[in-house]
Amino acid sequence: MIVGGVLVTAAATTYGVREYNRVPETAAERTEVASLTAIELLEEFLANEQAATTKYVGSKAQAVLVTGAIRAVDEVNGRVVTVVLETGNPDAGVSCEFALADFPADWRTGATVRLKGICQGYTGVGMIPGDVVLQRCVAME
Amino acid sequence: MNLRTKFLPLFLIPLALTAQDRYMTRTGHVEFHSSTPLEDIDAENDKVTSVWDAASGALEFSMLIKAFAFEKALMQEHFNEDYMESTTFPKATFKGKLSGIGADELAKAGTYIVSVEGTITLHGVEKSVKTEGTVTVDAHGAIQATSTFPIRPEDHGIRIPGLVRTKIAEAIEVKVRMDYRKM
Repeated sequence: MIVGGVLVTAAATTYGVREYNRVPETAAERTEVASLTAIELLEEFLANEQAATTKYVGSKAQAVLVTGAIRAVDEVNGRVVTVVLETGNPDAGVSCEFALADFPADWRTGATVRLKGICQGYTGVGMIPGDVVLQRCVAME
Repeated sequence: MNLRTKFLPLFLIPLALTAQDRYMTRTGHVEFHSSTPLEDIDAENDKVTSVWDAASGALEFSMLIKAFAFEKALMQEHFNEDYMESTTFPKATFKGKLSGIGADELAKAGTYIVSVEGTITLHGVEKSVKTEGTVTVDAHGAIQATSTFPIRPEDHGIRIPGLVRTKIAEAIEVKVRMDYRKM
């Protein structure tokens, strides 16, 4: 009885510690709900932001596969790299954030790439032009 | 040259000036810090979009709540699901005015104290805010704006259960850093 209690306590403690220290997963560990181009993704948010948010951000863990040409690469704070994919709209892009360690060193402006990211929504509001934001991205072959 | 062709450029001058006075960032940084004897909580968002019209002083921010990154997944999940309800309230915005700096200051390097006044919409609740900040213009003309101010979750209808009340500060320190580029 006592041994059983100790084992249950140990198991619960191990689970609690592991759960407390769990780090946010990358898109690689999530199931993709769609595969589309950066142009198509932006168009859906511009046409109906609420419907696109429901579809691509969702309320459960999910990710999207996006293909597009690199418009710009910007390293932020030495921790993350932001890749903006071309959309044909100079005021709006698809902004994809990579952890520095996950960013492919050979990606250059103009190259067509495919990536998997966690869609967080569309930033535009008021006089602010928007981007569709993808985070914890990983490169796809 | 008819009259319309002759005077059209004159009408376009104000539009051109307006565009020249606008600055923007898509990679603005907002972080918050909650400190209590029981726990420290930090999160950062490097995907903040902001536009500043230096001519009028108009300043706007927009950020996605889900874009705040935490060190620990559990904290991030509680933040989004239990407190910020980010599926229902996906964005936080600021709309207001920045004053204390003009075209003369922007034309030369220096650090200028500015005041910012406006409305923050967070968790679907609007709240007026007035704070100070700095705008730094470097030798190359790069512009960085920073500010630190407190936000009280209760002011925005964010309910914190009694069980964890002692783990979350009553006033959360918010730091803002924007590296603006000309639009």
